[in-house]
Amino acid sequence: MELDRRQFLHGGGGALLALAISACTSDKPKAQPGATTTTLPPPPPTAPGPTASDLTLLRTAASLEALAVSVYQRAAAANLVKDPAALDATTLFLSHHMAHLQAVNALLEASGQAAVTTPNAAVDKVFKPALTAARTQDEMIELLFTLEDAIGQTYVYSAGYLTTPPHRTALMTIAGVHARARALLGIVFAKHDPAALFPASFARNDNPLPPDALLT
Amino acid sequence: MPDPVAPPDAALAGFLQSVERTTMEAYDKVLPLLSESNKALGTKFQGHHRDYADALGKLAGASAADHTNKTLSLVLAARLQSMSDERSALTSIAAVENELVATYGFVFSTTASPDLVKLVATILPVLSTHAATLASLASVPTAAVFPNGAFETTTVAGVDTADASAGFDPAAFPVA
Repeated sequence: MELDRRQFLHGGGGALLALAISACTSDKPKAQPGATTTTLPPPPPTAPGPTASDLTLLRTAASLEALAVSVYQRAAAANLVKDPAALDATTLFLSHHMAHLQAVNALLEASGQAAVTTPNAAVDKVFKPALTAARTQDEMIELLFTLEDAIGQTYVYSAGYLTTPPHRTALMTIAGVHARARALLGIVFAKHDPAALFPASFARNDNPLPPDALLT
Repeated sequence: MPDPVAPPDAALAGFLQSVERTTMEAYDKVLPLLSESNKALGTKFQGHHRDYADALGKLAGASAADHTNKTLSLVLAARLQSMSDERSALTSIAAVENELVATYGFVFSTTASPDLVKLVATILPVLSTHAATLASLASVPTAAVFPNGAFETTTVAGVDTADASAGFDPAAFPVA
């Protein structure tokens, strides 16, 4: 079964945009679980090789990791994160995203596809103004928290569609690390109430991306 | 109407359900050692595991496990005996959450059921968040919050493994 682009994109975008913008404002609205919903069709059965949809999701994942690398690098260049512990943590997270990018591109190349090294332009369009607007360490940390949240949610969404077990395993072993980074950014550095990191027992699996983020 | 879960995947769901019930039992031992604010959070996490057990039980069908995993229960009981204060309680239960993450990672490489894949995908990141949250409350150094570096592991092992971050091997922790 091929992934329907309209199904992938339905309902996405607004939540990410709102979160990214709110990350750099002093009045931060809380994300509402279920604020956007994507009605998922039944996931496809496991197939022997990657489908066109699998490759689309992998390309998109690589572009999101490239974006994360770029955002962390721009955050470092902005020199707003000055607390040594926060600096060490964000440097570690940058190295994780570099490893993720390499791993997802290895999957693409093993499937005979070209590697993706350019940041996802559609999502970058959302984060760029927020990066420019950030004036304090707290605002930058909130932005990185939002980034980890959005990419992690995309992988949970993707797992329901990927037909090749090694691909879904790879994305979920990455999603777990995004979740850990999100937790540390939220609790240790942004001083969120730990309970607020758990709006529900289950992670959201609707698509958080803007409409043109999918790399077909 | 969801597709029926194939028997091997239903058995896997039943195994995970038994592991979740055992984790709930582990929280019962940890909670008395926690401060009031951390106890509230621990109780919330325990509730998550109850929700996972319930959801997995629905997919397990006839393979549902309405009881703890006896082998794992013995292993955790022995391990949790050494807890003496809040920090040791937090690090002990964080280690269990890390092992759960690995167990769920392993499931992705073995299951073919779309419904189980979809369910497990919504659980694994929350388990990772549990582990990181508990570790940060125990003031564990940042790098140690990522026991397997940039990727979660999918390695599972038996009772006598030396690999502290490995998950629970269904073959070594049978659903009795």
